[in-house]
Amino acid sequence: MALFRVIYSLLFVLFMLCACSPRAEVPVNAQPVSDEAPIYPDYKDIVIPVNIAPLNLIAQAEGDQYVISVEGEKGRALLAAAGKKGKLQFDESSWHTLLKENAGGNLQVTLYVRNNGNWVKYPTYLLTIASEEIDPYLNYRLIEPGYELYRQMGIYERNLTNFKEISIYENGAGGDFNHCVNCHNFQQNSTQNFMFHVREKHGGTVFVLNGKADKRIMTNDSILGNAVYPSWHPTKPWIVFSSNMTSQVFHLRDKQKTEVIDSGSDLIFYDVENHTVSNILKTNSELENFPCWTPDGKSIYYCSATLEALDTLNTKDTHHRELAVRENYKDIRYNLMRIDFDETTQSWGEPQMVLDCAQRGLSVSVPRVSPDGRYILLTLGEFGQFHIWHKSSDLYVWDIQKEELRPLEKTNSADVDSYHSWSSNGRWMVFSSRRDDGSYTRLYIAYFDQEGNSYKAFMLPQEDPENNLMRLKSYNVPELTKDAIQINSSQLRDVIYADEEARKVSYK
Amino acid sequence: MKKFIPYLICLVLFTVFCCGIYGPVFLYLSQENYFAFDSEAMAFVLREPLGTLYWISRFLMLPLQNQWIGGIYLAILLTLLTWFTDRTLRVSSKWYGIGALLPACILIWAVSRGYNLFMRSEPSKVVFYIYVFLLLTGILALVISLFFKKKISAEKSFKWPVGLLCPILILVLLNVGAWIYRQNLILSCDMQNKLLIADWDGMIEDALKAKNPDKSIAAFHAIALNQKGQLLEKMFEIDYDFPPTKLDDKDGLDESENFTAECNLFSCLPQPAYHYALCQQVVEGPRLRFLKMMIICSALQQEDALCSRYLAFLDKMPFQHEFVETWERRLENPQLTAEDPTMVRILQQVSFEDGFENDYARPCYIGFNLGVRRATPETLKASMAAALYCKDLDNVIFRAAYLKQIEALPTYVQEALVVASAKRPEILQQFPEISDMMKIRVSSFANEASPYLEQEDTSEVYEALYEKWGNSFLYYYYFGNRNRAVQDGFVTAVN
Repeated sequence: MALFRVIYSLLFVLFMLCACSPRAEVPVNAQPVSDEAPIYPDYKDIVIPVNIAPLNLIAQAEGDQYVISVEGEKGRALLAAAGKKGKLQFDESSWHTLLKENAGGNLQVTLYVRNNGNWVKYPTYLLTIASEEIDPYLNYRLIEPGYELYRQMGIYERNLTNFKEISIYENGAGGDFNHCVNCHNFQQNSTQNFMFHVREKHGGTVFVLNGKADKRIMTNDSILGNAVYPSWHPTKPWIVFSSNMTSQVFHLRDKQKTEVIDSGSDLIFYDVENHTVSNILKTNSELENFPCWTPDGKSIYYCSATLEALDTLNTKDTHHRELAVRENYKDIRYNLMRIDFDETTQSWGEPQMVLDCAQRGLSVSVPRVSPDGRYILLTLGEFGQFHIWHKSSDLYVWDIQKEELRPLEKTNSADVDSYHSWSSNGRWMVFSSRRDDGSYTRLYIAYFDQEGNSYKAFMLPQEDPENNLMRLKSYNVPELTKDAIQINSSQLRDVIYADEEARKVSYK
Repeated sequence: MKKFIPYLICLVLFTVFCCGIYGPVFLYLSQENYFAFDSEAMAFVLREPLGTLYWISRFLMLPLQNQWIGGIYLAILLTLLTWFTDRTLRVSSKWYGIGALLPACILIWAVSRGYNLFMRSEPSKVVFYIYVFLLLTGILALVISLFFKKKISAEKSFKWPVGLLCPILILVLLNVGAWIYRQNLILSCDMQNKLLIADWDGMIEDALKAKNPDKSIAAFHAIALNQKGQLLEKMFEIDYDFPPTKLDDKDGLDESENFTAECNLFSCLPQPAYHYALCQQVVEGPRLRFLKMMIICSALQQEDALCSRYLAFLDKMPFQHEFVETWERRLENPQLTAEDPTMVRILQQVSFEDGFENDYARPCYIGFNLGVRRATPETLKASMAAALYCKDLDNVIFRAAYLKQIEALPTYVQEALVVASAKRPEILQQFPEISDMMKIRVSSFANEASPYLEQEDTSEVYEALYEKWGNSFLYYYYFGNRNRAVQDGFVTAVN
C-alpha cells in the first residue's frame, strides 16, 4: 500500500509538472524596451502568404517565461507562451483563421519576456499577409554539406500549410542500398510529371510521367556524359538537360570550402515518351549549363562560359581538362544565353547572348524564368557556376522586357543565396541560403510583387523551431508544387532497384 | 552472506577488466557515442535498423564517460547478468557463478571485435547486448522462480562454488588475452583519451609500451611529439612496421578514420580536419569525437555561427556542458583560444599557402607538409618529419637547408643526409656540420645491415638490428614502413 502511495505521488507530481505550462496571457505591467525582438528565425517585418503554416519561433532573450501576441485588425488576437526554453508555438487552426481574416493586411506581433520576475515588452513588428497563396507543397533534398560522401539522404515533400514532411524517396542508408538522389525537377509545378537522378548503385534517371515511373540510363556514345541539370518543357514530355563532366576540389583554407569544377558541358534534348536523346549544343571549349525553358516553350535560357585552354583538349581527356579548369577557376565566368526552339520541327536556332555577365565581372548560374515570362530569377557570383559554395553569390532578376538587371537587395544576405525556384503564380520564390551559419543551407521564402519588387525572405517555418538548429542536413533544390506527390516511395524503390529493366536511351 | 561470495568475486573480476585492462577502450567508446533526447538530433540513429533500441542503449552507455564510474557500472551489470543466469539455470550453490560464462562471452565478443567495436559500427552494441541478455535472463529467472519456487528453496546448506573456477579461469585469460592481442587497441584508445586532456607525456609513454605499434599509435605518438616539439628528435622511437588492422570490410578496410581528422588538426589544417570529421559524421552519424573536432575547427576558422550550431547540438548531450561552456567562452573571447597551449602549438604551424586539398598527396597532413613551400619554422619541422616519414630524401635535403638556419640539424636529419650522400656526395659539402662521427655511424649501420637488406622476414631483421638501430632514420629507411606512405591527390564526383 505504501509503495502504491509513493507511485501515486510521483505520478501526480509528474502530471502537475506537465500541466504547468506557462499561461498565454499578455502581461499587464510589461516595461517597453527599445532593442529589437530577439527571435529565431528572424520573422520580423516580412511578407507572408496567407496559407503559410504558423511561424513558430524561439525567443532568444534571457528569461524564464515568454509570451507572444499576434493581432490583426480583424479576429481575435493569437497568443502563445513558453517556459525557459523560449519555444513559442502557435495553435495551427487559430493561426490560419487569423491569417485568412486579415489577408491583404498586417498583423502586429509583440514579444514579452519575464526575467527575474519582471516583464519586458519588445517593439512590435509586422507580418504583412499577401493575399496570393504559395503553392502548398515544397520539395527538397536533404543531405549533409559533407562534400563527397553520403549515407542517409533523400528527397522530401513538405506541406507548407502545416508541418507535415514525407519522404518522396530515401536511399537505403548503406551497403547495396546506398545511392545518391539528386536534381529532382517538376513540369509546371505539378507532381504529375517529374524526374530525379539516382547515382552510384542502381543508378539511372527516374521519370514519372502521368504518375507512372520508369528508369532510364541516360548515357550514350553520342553525348558528352550523363544527363545532369534538367528543365521540363512547359507542356510536352520533353526535357532539356545539361550534360556535364563535373568534379569537386576542396579548399585548404578558403571558407568557400568546395569548388565544383565543370570541365565539359553540353546541352541535350530528351524525349521522355520515346526515350530518345539528341545534342542541342555540343562544343569543346564552351561550357553550357543550367538550361531553363521559357513558359511558352519557344526557347531556353542557359549559362555558358568559354575556356580557350580546353580547345586543344579532347572531351575524353578528363584529367587534363580538370587541371585546366582548376588553374583558371577564378577567371571562368558564365554569361546568360538564349536559344530558340521550333516545336514543330524540333529544331534549334543559334545561341544568342542575353546578358554579358563576364563583362560585369560576374558569373551567372541557375536562370529560372517567371511563370509570366517577364523575369528571369538568377544567381550571380564572382566566378564559376556552382554558386552554392560561393560567398559572393546573390539573387538577381533580369527584366526581359526592360533588359535590366537588378539585385534582390531586400532578399539577399551577406552569405550564399543560391538555388531558387518560382511558385506557380510567380508571386513567391523559394531559395536555399547559407546565411544562418555559412554552411548548412536553409530554405527561405520571399514575396515578389507584381511590380517586380522583392521583399525580405523568411526561413521555412517548423513545428519545433529548434529543428532548424538541430537538423544537421542541408536543404537542396527547393521546388514548389501545386499538388502532392501521387506516387509512393515503395513504387519508386521498385523501379530504381529493377536494374534489368532500365534501358539505355537511344540517340536520335 | 556466503552465497554472495561468488558474485563478489565476479564483480571484482569484471571491475578489473572494465576499469583496468579494457577501461581505456570503454572510456574511449563514450567518445564515439552521441545521445540526445531530441529526436531530430538522433534522426541518424533512429533511421537505422533497430534505431530506437540503439537510441536507448546509447543513453544507457552515458556512464561510460568516466572510466571508473563506467567500469564499475559495467561490472555491476555483468555481475547482475551472472546472477540472473544462475537463477535461470537454477544451479545449486556449488555452481554459483557459472552464469558468469554468459557475460564473459559478451566480453570475449567485445575483445574479438577489436577496432570494429566502434569503427564503422554502432558504438553502443556492447551495452545493448548486456541489457538484452539482462532482460532475457531477468524475465526467465522471474518466470522460473515463480514456477519452481519450492525446488530452489529446498537447498539448505551452502557449498563452496567450484563452478566459479571455470569463469574465473576464462576471465583471467580474457584479461591476459586482451592485453596480448588487443594491446594496440587498448593503447590507442588510451592515447585518444589522453589527447582530450592534453596529456602528451602519457601518450608518448603509451606508444613506447606498444610491442608492435599500429598506424593509430604511430599517429597519436606523432601528435604528442609534435605538441612537445620533439618530433624530429624522437619520431623513430617506435617501430614503424605496422601490423594489419583487421577491420570489417565496409567499402574498404581503411583504419585512417581513427586518426586522420586529429592529424589534420594538429598539423594546423583545420579545414581539412573539419572536412574529414564531417565526412565521417555523414557516414557514422553524430559522434562526440567528430562533433568536438568540428567545434574546434570551426572556431579556429572563425566560423562562429557554425561553431555555435554544433555547440547547441552538443549541449543536448548530458554531461557535455563543460566543454560547451569552454568553447562558448572562447567564441566570445578568441584570446582564450590563443592562450590555450595546445592551440598555441597548433597555430604555430599555420602555413601561408592556400590551394586545394586535391593538389596534395593523401593523407592531407602528410601530403601538405611534403608540398608546402612557405611556412613557419614549426611547419618546417613538421614538414621535415613528413619528408623523413615518406623517405623523400630530395625533400629532406631541400628542407634541411632551411632548417639549419634555425637550429642544429637533428640526428635523424643528419642520418638522412648521409644516406642521400651515397648517390649525391656533394650533399656533404652543402652540410659541413655533419660530423665524421655521423658518417662513421652510418657506415657502421651499413655494415651491420647489409646481410639483411634483401631479407623479406622482418622479424629476423628486427631481432638482429632493432635494439641497436631501431631509434634511427637508418633503420626506418631500410626496414621500416615498407608500404607506400602517401597516395596521389584525388578528385570526387558532385553529389
